[in-house]
Amino acid sequence: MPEVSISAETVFQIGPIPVTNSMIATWLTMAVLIGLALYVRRRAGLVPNRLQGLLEWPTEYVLDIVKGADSKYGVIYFPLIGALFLFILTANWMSLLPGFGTIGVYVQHGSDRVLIPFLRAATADLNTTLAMAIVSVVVFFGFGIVVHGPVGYARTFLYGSVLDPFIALLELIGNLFRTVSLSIRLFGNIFAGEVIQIIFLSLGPAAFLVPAFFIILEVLFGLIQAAVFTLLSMTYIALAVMEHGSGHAESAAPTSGLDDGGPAEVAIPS
Amino acid sequence: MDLQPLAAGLAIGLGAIGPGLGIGIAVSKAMEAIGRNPDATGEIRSAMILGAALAEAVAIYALLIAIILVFIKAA
Repeated sequence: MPEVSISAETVFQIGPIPVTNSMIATWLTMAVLIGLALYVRRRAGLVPNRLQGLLEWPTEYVLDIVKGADSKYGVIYFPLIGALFLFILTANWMSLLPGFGTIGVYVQHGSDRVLIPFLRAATADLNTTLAMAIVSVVVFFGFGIVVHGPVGYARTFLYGSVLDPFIALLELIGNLFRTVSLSIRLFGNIFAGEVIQIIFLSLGPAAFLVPAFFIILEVLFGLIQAAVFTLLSMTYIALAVMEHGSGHAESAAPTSGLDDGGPAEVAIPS
Repeated sequence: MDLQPLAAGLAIGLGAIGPGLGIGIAVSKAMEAIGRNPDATGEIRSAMILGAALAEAVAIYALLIAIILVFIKAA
């Protein structure tokens, strides 16, 4: 049975801070994105070259979606949404490169030797995904409070019925639980993909082509999970800033095709 | 007797029922919608993938539990 570690392994320590292999991958992802952005910005032209087009395409795509979902405030929080999308996508796809999870040092751990890889997919660490989920939940609460005011935002939890205290409590718990669902969804998908590859690789050299097939699937899943995380974060913020009418049932209809169902349907994922 | 492998099998097996049904329903409705309005194929497809990924997440939770059960030995 191959060794699988749910948490990221510590590679070395800087003073009291342990540096894990997923942290190194996170910094690497950030370096790639920031370096690419700085390089492209320096030679950006009105007619984009290939590299500029590569960066502009996803940015414009996300911008269109955000504008479609929330034409009023969408542009304000687009930087967060776009950055989340680019970071998760890059981190997911970088984890498929050779060297991730395979190059490392052997450490004697009790009776058996354990491989500690230098690099581990940044999103295959619950700490990374939880951090991003907390940011997006804090931002949607913050946007709701800034746009509606503290009292106005609290009132969006009320429906004007006798059961209001319970409904408000349930909604609050549901909203806070979005942190867990967002982070576990991304972590679980990427981590499970890695485990599946490890298991198929351990079946022996004859099973060499099977992991290759799964890597193709992982490219697809990496894109889908990046899109899901960003779209959900965007929908949460859009719902928080949405104008609520007097009656909750006929609250302002969102303009995007994605959340046509209104609050009731989008609340299901949490 | 070590029941941990059985627990792992049950966790992913039972946990996959709901998401399987959910994704099936989502895809079947999306196919119907595409059949009725082929011009909207792109929008329907992206909404369908989002919904399918949401349903799939539940199966991923079960898979995580199964992985933990298989690889982390109870003391």
